[in-house]
Amino acid sequence: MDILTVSHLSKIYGKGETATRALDDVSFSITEGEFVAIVGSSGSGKSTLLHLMGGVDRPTSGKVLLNGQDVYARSDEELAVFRRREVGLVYQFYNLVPVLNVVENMTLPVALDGRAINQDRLAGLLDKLGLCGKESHLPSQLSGGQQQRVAIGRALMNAPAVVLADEPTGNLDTHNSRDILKLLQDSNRDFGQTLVMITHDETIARAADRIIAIEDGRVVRDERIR
Amino acid sequence: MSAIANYTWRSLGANRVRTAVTIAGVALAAALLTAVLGTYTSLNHYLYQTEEELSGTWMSSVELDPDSEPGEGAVAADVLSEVQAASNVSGVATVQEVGFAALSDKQQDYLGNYAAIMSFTGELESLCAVKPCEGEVPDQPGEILLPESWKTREGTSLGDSITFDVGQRELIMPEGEEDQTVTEESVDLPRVSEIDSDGDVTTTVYKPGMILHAHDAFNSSAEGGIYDEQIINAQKRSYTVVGFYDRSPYAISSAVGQTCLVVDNQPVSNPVAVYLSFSNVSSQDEVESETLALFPDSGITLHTALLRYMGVRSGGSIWDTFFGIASVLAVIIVVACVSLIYNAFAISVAERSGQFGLLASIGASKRQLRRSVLMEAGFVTVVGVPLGLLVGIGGCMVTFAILGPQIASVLSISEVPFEVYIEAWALLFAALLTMVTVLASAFLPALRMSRISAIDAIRQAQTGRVSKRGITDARVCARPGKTWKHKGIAGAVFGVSGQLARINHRRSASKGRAASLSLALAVVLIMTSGSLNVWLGSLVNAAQGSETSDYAISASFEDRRVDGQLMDEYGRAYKSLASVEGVVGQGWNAQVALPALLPEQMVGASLTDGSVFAVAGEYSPGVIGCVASVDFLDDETFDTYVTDLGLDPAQFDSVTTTSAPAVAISQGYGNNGSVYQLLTMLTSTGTVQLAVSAQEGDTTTSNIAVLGEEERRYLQQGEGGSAYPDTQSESASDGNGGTDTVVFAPYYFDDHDSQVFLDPVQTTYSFVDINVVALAEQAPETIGQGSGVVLIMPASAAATLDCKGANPYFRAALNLSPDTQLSADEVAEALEDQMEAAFAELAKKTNPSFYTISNLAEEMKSVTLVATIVNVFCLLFAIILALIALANVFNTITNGLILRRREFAVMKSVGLSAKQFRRMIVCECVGYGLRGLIPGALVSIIVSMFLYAAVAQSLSGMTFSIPWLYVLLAIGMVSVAMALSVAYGMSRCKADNIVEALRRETQ
Repeated sequence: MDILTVSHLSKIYGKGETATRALDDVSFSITEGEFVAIVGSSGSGKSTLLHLMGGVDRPTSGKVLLNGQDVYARSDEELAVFRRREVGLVYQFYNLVPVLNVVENMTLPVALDGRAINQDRLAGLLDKLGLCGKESHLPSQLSGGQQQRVAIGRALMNAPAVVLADEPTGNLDTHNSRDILKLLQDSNRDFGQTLVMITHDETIARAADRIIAIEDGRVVRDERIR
Repeated sequence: MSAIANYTWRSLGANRVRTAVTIAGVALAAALLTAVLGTYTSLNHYLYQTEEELSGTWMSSVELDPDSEPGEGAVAADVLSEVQAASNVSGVATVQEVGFAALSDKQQDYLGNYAAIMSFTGELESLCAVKPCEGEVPDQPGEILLPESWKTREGTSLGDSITFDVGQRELIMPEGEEDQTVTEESVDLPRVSEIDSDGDVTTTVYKPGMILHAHDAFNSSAEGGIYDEQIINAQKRSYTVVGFYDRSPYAISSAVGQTCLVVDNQPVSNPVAVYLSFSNVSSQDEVESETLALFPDSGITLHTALLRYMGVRSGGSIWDTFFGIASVLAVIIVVACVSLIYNAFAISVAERSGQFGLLASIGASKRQLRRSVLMEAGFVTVVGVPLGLLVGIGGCMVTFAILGPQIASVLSISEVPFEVYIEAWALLFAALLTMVTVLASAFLPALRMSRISAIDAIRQAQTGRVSKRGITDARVCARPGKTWKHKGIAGAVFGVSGQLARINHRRSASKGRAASLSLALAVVLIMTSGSLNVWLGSLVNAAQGSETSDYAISASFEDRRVDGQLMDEYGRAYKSLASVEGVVGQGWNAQVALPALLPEQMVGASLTDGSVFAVAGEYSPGVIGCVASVDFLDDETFDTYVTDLGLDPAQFDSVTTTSAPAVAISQGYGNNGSVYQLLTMLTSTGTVQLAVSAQEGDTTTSNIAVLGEEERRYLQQGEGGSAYPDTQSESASDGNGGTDTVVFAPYYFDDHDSQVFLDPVQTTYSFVDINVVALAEQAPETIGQGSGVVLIMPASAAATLDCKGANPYFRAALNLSPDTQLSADEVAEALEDQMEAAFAELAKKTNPSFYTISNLAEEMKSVTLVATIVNVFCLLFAIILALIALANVFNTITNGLILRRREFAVMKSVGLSAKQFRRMIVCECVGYGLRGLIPGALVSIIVSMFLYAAVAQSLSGMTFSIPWLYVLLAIGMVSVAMALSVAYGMSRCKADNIVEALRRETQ
């Protein structure tokens, strides 16, 4: 079953002569539980595509459907709710809130939603992410790998429909990269979590179920490996 | 352009708004400093020019007395050439007495006792401000410059020849007393003591035969002096009139008449005054020592006013106060500006710390990084300072153009216009002070930044916002089940947005301290200038005095006493005055002073403890004696007055020959030891006895003086036959210096017009009883707030009550009609013309002692003008300071938000809605606001109290009240500035979408 459908998606930055076409009529669908790697050179538009799928940007034209619903038919306020509940975003530079500790960063989307925290899920995630004993640490007291784990924890905390990761290992050493990748793969395998990941790394791409290659804002290759 | 310069330039461009606000702040600082210093130098220059115009540019003068140094015979020409040869002397003039010429009686009315002839050499015109209004200053022997009165009153004109009998003034005994011998030991000889520069006292004893000079006063036994004087050795001298002068400056002033100036080459053994000016002197001591070097052992007079305005400084208290105020204002400006500029640079550096780290990591040296910040400071200075200087000078020009003529009319009588005059040092000082402020403000953050290592700088840009206390707080909130549970007030009110704001405040390193501080500072600055306005305003208002009528007409007529007929005549005179076009009558009253006895319980302590000038004290046990002011107010005004007090006018109709009801004033002005203020004179109603006549045997008199102990002592010491027989003071005195005792002292004048006192023991008094039915705090406008005991009755009561009050003083209060087209001066003139007609009926019976008009409106106008000037300056100062303070708030808050742009983007990307974001920011702002406005308001109230205390030193009867209007205004202005800043900051945060914000700092 298709959980995420991208249909004729275009994004143009700027206006007039300086206008840049970042995405040009991109269409594809992602099935529930799928692990998709998006590859492409710098400036190919892959990050723009990920952000559009995550509801943090608005397309110039085209649609994104999540569970059959049009993401961008929502108001800004509804879009914020969508980001809290339906997607989990992981960035290359972790993007944690510096004044919040580990658990607060992880539970921020739940708190923003005004819901009670599922303590069991939090404990399970902390354990799985290897962050036990670090709960009270602030981002500045953590290593890069640890910060990325918190970011993944934040993305998974709400059990979103899709986890969107933008080069989550791009800023990490090999050892940490492997750990982070394993974590994401595990959640994909164990919980059937749909995962879309941008990567430069051939090895990581090969671990995915499907590879979509973007060049100059267009899908140039869409290849199912498994 | 070097790489660093290029980078600096771009970063300035990227933050255009903040750069502009910073430049505006620097410009305002420079403008304010220029304005304050410019006002100071302009005023100084104006006063210098005025002094130059009125008295000339001489710095010191010495008087050479040839009488005391025989043989040396001071010859003006010799002195002149000798002094001119001395280096350092930039100007010299001498004035020497030639002699005095007698004038006719008629001439004496407008020319003085004599024509004082003086001869001069040197630069009299510039040094001593002798300026002919017509013709020129004489330069040939035989020419003369005369005071203008000769032209206007004597009909003398240029080219006329004029002859004087010029001689010397000699002191002589009055006619018939020539045989009396006078010795040095005679106690009554007039003498004048002077202390010379060495501290020695020289006493001049005036004896017959003495030769008098220009500064000795005129002697006339007919006018009460001991001696007379005569002109001796008179010689005829003829002169040709070459000029007239209309203003007599100090150098050619004389005590006995207007001076006529000649150039007389004949050496005369008369005193020579030498006027000197020097180049290159920097202190009064130097002027003094230079003068002494030329004229040892001479008494020196310094032109202190001129020296002060020249900047040749010495202690002059008023001048010091003036300079002090200018300095205090400059300090306030510098404090306000340092806070603004420092903040701006701290923000700029913090914002770019990541970039600096990056630059450092690719090899930029610490010096290069510091240079970048200093270049930014340099740019801001180069643009801001000249702009500020221009604005400051322009502001002064506009202000002075509007207020200048009025300032000049208040400050002096000279024709010198009040204009902007800014000395180079003032501009240089303003520019340097601003520059130092900017560089110091920029250097500190630059230094701090360059101490941080490259990698720390990069890391700090991303995560370094957390304080040590924040780490502890984070630990507490991480326990299972505790997460998001500490809500605080913010969380309770604003939900999760409030919680986020609360966490940010508790844990972030800056805690928005800069924002709170800038808010507090803004409130303090606005409030301080506001209170300055309030208290200075009240000082000025106090000087303006209580409300009075526009015109007051006073009159008194000889040998009249209070009775019904006089009241009718006064009433008609008033009616006649009030009928003048453009006049609205405010009422009239007749006032007499009568000896009064009051029961002790009616009297407030202030009446008898020496606070009031009038004599008042214990008359007999439980009874206070004093002189009461009894006012008969015209019936119409009286009825209105008592009705306003809530009384029935009919209450005052029960008048008999020996009793009448009255209103008494409870408060009067007095000095409580340090300040002049309203004091309580009477505390309750009761009966006041007025002594209207005294009888000893067959002698009856209505003249009854009230004497305190001091007056009695004086009278007992005896002045030719007026000895006062006191039998009471010994027993009545309480001897502890507290309440004075008073006695009544009835007297009459015998056939020789000598005052004869009745024997107090044998005398009996007749009294009338005044029943004080009510006390009022405020006296009616016509009467005015007085001092001591004031009793008010309707004028009609005078017809029945036999109070025999002598010499009633008539006073009419009149206002300028608001509907009239006539000017205040025209109406004053019309009133003056009308007075003669109005008082004709009264004047037919007895001679007027006097009648006069006071144009209170005119006096009020100049006081109001001063008030306006003070208020305008205060207001301008307040506005500019407020602008600086608000610019500071804007910079701090806006940049505080912009710096956290990425953090906000992160929160938004995980689902913070726009509404939640706004609530979070509002909540944070409320926090800054409370932490800034409340302490700010408290500090300002304290500052306001200090200002109040300072003003209260010279003015009392004023109570401290918090200037709520300014508190509200300050908080309102600051809140609006905060709202605008937040709005701008948020729009900047919103302008780039989440993606760009996230990307911005990672690239």
